[in-house]
Amino acid sequence: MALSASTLKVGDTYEEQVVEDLKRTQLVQYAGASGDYNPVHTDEVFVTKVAGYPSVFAHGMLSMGMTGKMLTNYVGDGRLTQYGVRFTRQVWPGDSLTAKATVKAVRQEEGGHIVDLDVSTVNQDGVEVVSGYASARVDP
Amino acid sequence: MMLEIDPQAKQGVQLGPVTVTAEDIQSFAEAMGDLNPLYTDVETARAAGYPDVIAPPMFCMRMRGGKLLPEVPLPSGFMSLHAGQEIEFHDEIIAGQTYTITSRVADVYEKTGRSGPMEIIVRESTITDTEERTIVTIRERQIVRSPEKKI
Repeated sequence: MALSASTLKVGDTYEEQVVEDLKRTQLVQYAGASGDYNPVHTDEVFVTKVAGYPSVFAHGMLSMGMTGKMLTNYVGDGRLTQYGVRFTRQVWPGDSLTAKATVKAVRQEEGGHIVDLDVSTVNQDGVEVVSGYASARVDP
Repeated sequence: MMLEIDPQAKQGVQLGPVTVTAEDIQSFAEAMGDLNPLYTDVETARAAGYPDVIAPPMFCMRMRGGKLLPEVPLPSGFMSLHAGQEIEFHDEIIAGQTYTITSRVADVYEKTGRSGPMEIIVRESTITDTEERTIVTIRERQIVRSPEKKI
């Protein structure tokens, strides 16, 4: 179901929980599916003994991808035109993430309608882990 | 510190052509916990007007490969981490279609963050189809810093 420019208002929000109690298994699964085998995401011995972190942590792209699930659920499939993020904090096993989009602008471009969104994903403590923006085509 | 960037890295490297499979898309969608039927069920995708299943937007990161390319060798012990990225989507990635990925180092700059100086490598990757249409453009930032400071 596509969004409609005529009913969207600046300040509208949409949010959903995109992962609950993130498992190390999902980090390994994402490593395999993406081909990103950086050991900080999968190798507990390396990351604690050599790199000096408290445990493995999620690929930024996994956080970005899970946040993207919220976006496509909100704007519809094949609608996203831009998506940019900063990874503001690490995401650890056990974290639960909630992703939120806030309407920043509704505008016209090349005869079509576009919604600009602020994107923010927080962990169970309310700490922001992904901060960004997205734009999507919407119906009139 | 100023990282040495090979002139070849600024020219860019090419991956592919690579043909995306429905299995690649399914395993990626499962790893993200996003079981949208457009990603996993060919009949649903056809009913929506696509020739085969489409990929979630972030599938482009699998296509640009598990490693940041072109590689920039880091001094011994230096750590690096992804700072973030910006992606432009022009069209869907569709199973059964063939794509080429070109990645280059677009910029390198220094900045001072919360915990001290760091260097940022900016890479730009472009995914094109067999008709040389740009499907996705990715700009990503990699933070590099010396071992005594954590990122």
